[in-house]
Amino acid sequence: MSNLTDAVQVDLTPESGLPTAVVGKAKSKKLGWFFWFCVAWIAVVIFGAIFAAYLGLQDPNNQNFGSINQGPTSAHWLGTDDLGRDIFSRIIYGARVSLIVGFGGMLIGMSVGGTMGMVSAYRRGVTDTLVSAASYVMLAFPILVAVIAIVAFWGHDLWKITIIVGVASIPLVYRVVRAATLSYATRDFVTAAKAQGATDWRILTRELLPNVLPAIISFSLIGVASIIILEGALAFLGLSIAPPTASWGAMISESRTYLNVNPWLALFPSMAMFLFLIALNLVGDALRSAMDIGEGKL
Amino acid sequence: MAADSPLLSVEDLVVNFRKSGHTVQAVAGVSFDVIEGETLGLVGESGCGKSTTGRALIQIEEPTSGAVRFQGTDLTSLKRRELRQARTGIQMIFQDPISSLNPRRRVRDIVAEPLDIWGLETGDQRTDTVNTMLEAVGLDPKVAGERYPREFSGGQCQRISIARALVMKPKLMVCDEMVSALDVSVQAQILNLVEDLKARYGLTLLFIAHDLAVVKNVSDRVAVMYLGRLCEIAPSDDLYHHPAHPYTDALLSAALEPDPSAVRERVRLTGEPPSPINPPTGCRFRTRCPRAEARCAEEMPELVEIAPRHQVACHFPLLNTGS
Amino acid sequence: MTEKTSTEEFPFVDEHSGPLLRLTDVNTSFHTVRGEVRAVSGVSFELARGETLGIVGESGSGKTVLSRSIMGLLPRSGVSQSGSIVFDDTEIVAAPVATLRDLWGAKIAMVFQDPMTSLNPVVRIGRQITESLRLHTSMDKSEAKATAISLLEQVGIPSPVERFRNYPHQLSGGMRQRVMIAIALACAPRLLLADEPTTGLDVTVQAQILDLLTSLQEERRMAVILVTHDLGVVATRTDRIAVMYAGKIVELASTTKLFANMAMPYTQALLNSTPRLSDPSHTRLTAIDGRPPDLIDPPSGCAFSPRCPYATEQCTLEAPPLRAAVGDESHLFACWNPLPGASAGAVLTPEGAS
Repeated sequence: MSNLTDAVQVDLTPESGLPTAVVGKAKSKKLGWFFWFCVAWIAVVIFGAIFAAYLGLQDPNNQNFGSINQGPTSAHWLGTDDLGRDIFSRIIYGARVSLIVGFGGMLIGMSVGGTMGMVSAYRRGVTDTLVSAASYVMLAFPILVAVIAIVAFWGHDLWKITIIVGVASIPLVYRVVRAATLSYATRDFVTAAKAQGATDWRILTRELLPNVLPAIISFSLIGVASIIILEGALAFLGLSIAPPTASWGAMISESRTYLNVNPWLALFPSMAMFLFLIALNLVGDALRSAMDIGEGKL
Repeated sequence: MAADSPLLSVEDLVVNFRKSGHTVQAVAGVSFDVIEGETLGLVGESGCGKSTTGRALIQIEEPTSGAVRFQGTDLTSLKRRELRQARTGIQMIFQDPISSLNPRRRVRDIVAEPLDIWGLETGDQRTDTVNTMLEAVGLDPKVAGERYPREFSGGQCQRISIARALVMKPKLMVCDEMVSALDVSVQAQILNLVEDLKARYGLTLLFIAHDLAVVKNVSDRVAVMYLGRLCEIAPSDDLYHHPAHPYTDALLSAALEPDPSAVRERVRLTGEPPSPINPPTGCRFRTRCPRAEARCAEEMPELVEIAPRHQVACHFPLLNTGS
Repeated sequence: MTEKTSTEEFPFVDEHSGPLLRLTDVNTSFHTVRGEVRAVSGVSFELARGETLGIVGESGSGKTVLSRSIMGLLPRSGVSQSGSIVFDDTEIVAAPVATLRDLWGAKIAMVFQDPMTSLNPVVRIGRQITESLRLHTSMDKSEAKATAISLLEQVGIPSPVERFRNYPHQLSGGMRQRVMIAIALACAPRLLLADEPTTGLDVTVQAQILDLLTSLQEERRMAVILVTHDLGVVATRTDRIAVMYAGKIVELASTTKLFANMAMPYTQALLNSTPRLSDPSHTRLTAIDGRPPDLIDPPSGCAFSPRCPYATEQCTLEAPPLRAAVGDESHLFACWNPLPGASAGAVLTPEGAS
């Protein structure tokens, strides 16, 4: 054997690293027009809520006893409520409450619960056992009752409700993120990173997070939907934002009294909520399957 | 080669696990040395503790007691930060090629990761190192670098893992069942590759596997483990021609040679391996050993040198007079 | 369905003579999203009663699909099969499920690779054996239990009466595999298909299991097809060996002939890339470059030609047929440039020529 470098090359040619179709290339799953339609709808709602003041809408709190409980007219596209306020503009302003509570609550839940979940799954051991046990206990607790009690006691400002709902979502987020991380934390590439001297922080952010992110994103969107429903439930009990601030839940709740006189009052806010939640769920689901990579097999 | 301190010195390594209330003695007092530049094979059947030993060396599993001296420093006594630094001299290749690579990162980033962790190289120099390594393991960097692990076969994934391990220029590489999950022809490619890289980069290898033929082919010396204890350590050819421990003899005779006329007197082991939760007293092999006597139950045999570089832990070793 | 009241009728006395199993030009393809995977192409061979055949190949060679095809255990949809598989006068290709059910367990049985996933984890092993007995014979519960315990004893499981009530997870890997064999043999099948029966088991246990199979086979004069990737497994335990590559049989010969006079460069390459205990340490293994071909769009010509050191232009253009060596009708191979020394008369020298 003359030249060692030559010997190395000769043995290693033709398997030149060209991947064949044996394992299968990464297929990008098509996100169809319906997916983008839902994304657009979500974007519209968010845009409307943020820029409501500049959209030339009628004052949502402007009471007009001259035209109460009217159906859709040219002056009021979706009709008016029992105090003569324009339903259309109240729906758009009301989106703010749902969005703030929904996304804000999820943000709290994900930052606290998500972080704890990832760290638990990565470290395992005693910490994991204790924290998981605590989460079981919290999950066994009737969340709705707890939320109601705390809101009734502490007060129902918008930010207070957001915090309460956010904290209430921590145990569930913790368990979901922990489970998603666990399937990756036990793999050899994590051990390999440790053996190379990576710090725990680096492993969490560069090795685990990219793998767990798809699950986190899709779960978050579905979680936002659940939180919005929770806010609606609170509104039904009179524990959501105080009037006259518009919110979808409050509007639906108020509409109960006037159901046979003005069904529009119940219909339109319900539809708004329904369409938004469905869009969130569908986008979350589609993202999850689109980001699912078929991992190669031997 | 100087006969002074070996590259790696394992002293009385013990690794215990707790499993549903019981203590499992996965590694029960193992001592051996690895000289710089050699390949030491570690062979045994499932449950013997060989993989646990490998992982305990790099402190992935925490040893319950014992010392692991690498280049003179005892790794078990280091604090976290010092350990992080010291571990870069030892790298490990794992059994499952797919699970060894982060599915969401490109191959070039995977291979460059050690450089990034320690901030050793950046920019062009980093790219060059990555390309050199990929070529060294037989992959075309222009094609392979941009792709994700799922687009490669098992053998190619192992090559990528090897490239990643070599980037840090380690002195010792622990190969934990590295070829067990590969087809025979791919296995041969990878074994040849490792031999070439060992010569090229001056590596020392600890080769852990259950296939005795593979281990013997690759190793200078072979250590045989049974139920957490070392039975025998000897140069490969010596082990094959003059096995001293009855278990080694049984392993050799049970091996399936691809030769219809192969004749080797079968030593038939009776029964099943005992549970590591409740190992037999004294010599752990005595319950299945055809040569066991009363002394074997009372006294645990220690490794004793019976020939140059040939150690065996047995009260009644097989001492062949002929070849 | 044959009525059996006892399974103790060994060795088999057969009414028919002639081969137990005959395959003629069997093709099996799977329809996948990426195209049609031709897992098995043009396989033909015969198996005599009481014979042991080894089928050797690496992953992707089609050996597992072939063994499943012989049983008729392929999925109903997404698969197309052609050719003929005749077991003891019964055609298996495209047979209705009812016909196959009469065969499964009773005439043909299979032992799978991973006993942990092949055994039902929530059913006691005793019941898994008696299930087969009660299905195919007219035994009652106590007879079946007695037979099952006797089977556990035959396959070498200690304390069979206690083990009868164990669950699979309470047994070691080797014992589970013995249970699989007991289940397979319960109704005394004529043909046993063993698909990688010892892969993943410890070396000493492997030897025990293979010895068990051999002794049971001798005692019952049962035919066995041993499917494996390991030439060591088949070297001393088979009468004939078929080597598969890319879905085709590339060499078929008696075991001794195969090792003494191999004709196919692939068989030789496979042998040379297996490390052997008898070789000195650091023997350079002759690795085969490259990887097996894609079965979706197989290249024209011989499937092994891109990796073959003896390949000529003819090899890339035309797939060689399986033909008999001159002077030895039972040694078949598919190669334009077989190895010298093979008992091959009217064939080509390594330099090739047309």
